Order: sequence, then C-alpha cells, then structure tokens
Amino acid sequence: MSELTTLLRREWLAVRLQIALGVVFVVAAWPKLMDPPSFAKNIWAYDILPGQLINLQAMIMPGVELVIGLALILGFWRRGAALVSLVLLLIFGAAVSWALATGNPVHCGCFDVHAAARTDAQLFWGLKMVLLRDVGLLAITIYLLWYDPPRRFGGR
Amino acid sequence: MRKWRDAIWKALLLTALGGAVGLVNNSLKEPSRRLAWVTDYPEKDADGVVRATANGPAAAADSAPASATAGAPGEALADGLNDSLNTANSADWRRVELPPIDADAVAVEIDPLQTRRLWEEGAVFVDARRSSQYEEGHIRGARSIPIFETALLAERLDQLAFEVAQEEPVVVYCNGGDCQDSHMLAERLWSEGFMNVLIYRDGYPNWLKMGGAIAEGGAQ
Repeated sequence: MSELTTLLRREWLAVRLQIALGVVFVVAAWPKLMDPPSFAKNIWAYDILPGQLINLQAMIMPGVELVIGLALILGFWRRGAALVSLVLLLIFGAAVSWALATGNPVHCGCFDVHAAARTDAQLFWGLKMVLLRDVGLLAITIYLLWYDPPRRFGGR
Repeated sequence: MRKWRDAIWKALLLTALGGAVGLVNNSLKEPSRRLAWVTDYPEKDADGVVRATANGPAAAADSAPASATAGAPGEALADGLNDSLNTANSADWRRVELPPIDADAVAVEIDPLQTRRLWEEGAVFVDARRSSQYEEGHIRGARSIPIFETALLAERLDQLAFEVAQEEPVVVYCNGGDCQDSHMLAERLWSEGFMNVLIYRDGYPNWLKMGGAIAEGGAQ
C-alpha cells in the first residue's frame, strides 16, 4: 500500500466527505421539491430531453437527490448512495457540457431554480464554474466508492 | 464482485425510493406548484413562426430586428407618460394601427402602443407567468394561464376557450426581455385554435413603466 493510500484511507475523512456530499444533495433537492414547475422550466431550457419526459424528470430527480443525500448524511448504504451520486453527477456534467458546447445560455438550476435575469456571458461563466464544481463532487464520490472501511478482527 | 453487486442493488433501491418520494411530493403540492404527468412543451426557440410586426406608425420607422423595434417606441412612450398623462402622448394609442389577422402566423408580436390600444378596447389579456408573479401584480383585467404550471393548464385553457371566441384578439405577455413564457403560451393557444394571438413582447415591466393599470391578488 503506497503512502498516499494510507494517508487517504481514514475513517474520519471518509465520514466528513460523505456528510458534506450528502448536505450538497439535500440542499440541491430542496428548492426543486418545493417548486416542481420551476425545475421543469429549467430542464426545458436545457433543451435536451424530449418534452414528454420533462415533467417526470422534474418530479423524480429531486426525490432521488434528497434520498441519497439523507443516506450519505446518515451513513446508510454508503456505497449504494455513492453509486447513484456518480450517475447523477455524470448526467449533470454531461448536460452542462452540452449546454456549453451548443452555446445554450441556461441557468444551471442546480441549487436555485428561480432564474434571475443575467447576461449570456454571465450564464456561460456560471456554467463553467458549475462544471468545475461537478468535477470536485465527482472526485469526492469516487473517493467514497474507493474507500473501504478498515477490516476488523473477526470481520469478513 | 459481491461488494459491487450489493452496491448496485442498493443504488437501484435508493433510486426507486427517491423516485417515489418525488412523485408523492409533487402530488401533495398545491395546484400552482404541481406538475401534470406529461405536457406537450413547445420546442425551445421554435418561434420562427412568430412574426414581429412593423405595423404601428412608430414601429414602421425602422426595419431593425424586433428587439430594437419594440424597445425604441416603448421608451419614448414611457418618457411621455412619466410627465403624467400628457394628453398628446396618451392619444397616440388611438392612432396606432393594429396588425391584421394573419392566419399563417402562430402569433404576432405587438409594441406597447398597440398593446395599449387593445387594452383600452377591452381585448382579452393573458398573463403567462407563474401564479405567484401574477398575484404580486398583473395588467388589470388579465387572466392567469401560467404555462409552466402544467397541473392547472388544461383547465385554464378550457375556460378560455369556453369564454372567448377563437377569432377574438388575445394578448399574451410575460416579463419581456428573455422571458419565453408568452411565446410558449401563444403557441399553445394557437394549437387550441385561437387565430388572433398577439404577444406583448416587452411585457409586464414595460406596462409598469408606461404607467398602465394594474391589479394585485388571486388568480381568476
């Protein structure tokens, strides 16, 4: 085992990162759960999903975010929750990259679903920051997937 | 590996649980914050069919893109009205020409003066913004049909179709600028058979600036 892995394989680190990631998901889910139509408008603005799927997506995704956020905070099914987190973050990253690639100035809709009037340049800058944040969250997720709690005597 | 198979199952279960939470949450919301299962959203930026008009005397002066057309007379008018109902200015709307019904267009964009004239003549006005924004303030007499509150949409559209003839002018508006709600609602109204849909492009902020009559409170 290299020194780096020994350094990283710490229960206290894993627990803190997992709670932080969980909080991010709960905070992201809340405004969407409070106002589904705003989130639907946001998804519509991305112009990726076919119209018929937008509402379903707007209903389901925040629920999933809330549940895995709580699971991560409570330390329940950590690896399962981290797997869902991985999939979600990859989807978000792909959507934001697509918006940037096609020059679609959308409001991220990650945490605040009520779009404030901003210029296109500000929106594109915002999307780039969002992408950076997404990568950071992905790193935490991959760490949590990699992390194995130290085995105790008499364990499996 | 067993560890991963286990994790995948748990991930699927968490996703299913989350989906259920989301669906229950939506169904427990008040109608203005609830989504319908499926909505036929108009395509984004599909407003190629919507034509900006160049009919009004003020607008006819320039053949610039719609935003410039709408902006200039709007500001001129607002300045005039700021001197508190200068009679010459407030009479302008009487002389403005309304666009003819265009059977091929989904909707026609109109400028502030044309909007004013239609309002004075008692045309039907429809607010496409969210219920909460409508409650904070709307053009007096306007109905509320929030395009994104899909749980309410069908009922409100039926009501409009019941009370308003399809040839009658229907003016839709939202917040002007980048706001696309009025264009989406216009497309929807057109697909419901309304043939004289007009879009007040500069929307509510411009109406406030013009000093137009407003009302607050509940959706009708």
